[in-house]
Amino acid sequence: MAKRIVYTISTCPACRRLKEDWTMQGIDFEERQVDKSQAWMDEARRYGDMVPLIRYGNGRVRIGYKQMIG
Amino acid sequence: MEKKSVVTPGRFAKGFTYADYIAQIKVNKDQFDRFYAGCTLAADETRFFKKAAQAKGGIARMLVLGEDWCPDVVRGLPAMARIAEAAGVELRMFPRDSNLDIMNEFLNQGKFMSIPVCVFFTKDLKEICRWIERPESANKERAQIEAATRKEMPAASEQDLRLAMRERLAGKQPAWQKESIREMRQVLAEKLGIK
Repeated sequence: MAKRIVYTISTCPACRRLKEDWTMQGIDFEERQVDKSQAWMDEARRYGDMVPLIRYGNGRVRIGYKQMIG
Repeated sequence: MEKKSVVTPGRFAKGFTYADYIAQIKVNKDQFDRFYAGCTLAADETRFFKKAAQAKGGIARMLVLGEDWCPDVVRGLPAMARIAEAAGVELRMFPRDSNLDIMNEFLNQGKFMSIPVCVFFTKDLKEICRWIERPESANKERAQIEAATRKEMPAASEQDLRLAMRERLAGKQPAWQKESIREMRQVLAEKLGIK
């Protein structure tokens, strides 16, 4: 199954929390920091305008984590 | 006893000029350039900001806090740069996340790290007034657009809703930029007692 992709901003507390939780839980994901790359910023904007923005392998998108956004 | 500000002359001088800031940002350079090119002050606005700089205790320095990934900063900072140019005053830009001590002095409602923040100072760094985040009209219109979009697309996913909203919000940006300038003028006019 395709890996989840999470779009983040490097200083976003909600993004940090998500990454800590998923790392602890052993969830496989790829992080794309939108504040470090215009290409990733443009890519994330196709799906939404807030972070963390999670794109699952099946194409579903979720914005925010535990009711927090960056 | 009044708490000493971290914004000393030495610290202020360490901020980026607008041109230096834009030269080193990692994202949204095209958008900053577009908002800067599209932002012109009317003749009476230019006159006002010049007068605000010449007034006794008038503006001499502008401090801006922001981040390049933030849409409100992408729209607001170019307008602030235009105001500084019109007034002939020094603008210094500080990235928020690496200047949290400054940010903590200018929190929105004393608790939120909203950006952009534009602080107008006298020559000796006494705060005259500040303006934060976005104009009131933008807050109202965003809420109206969100409510209307949700009503029109009741079965849409959160992702589709946000994309539809983003398209509708995009058309409002130039008007919100003008409104930001009008609000900054208004707050300065009140504080300095000029028209």
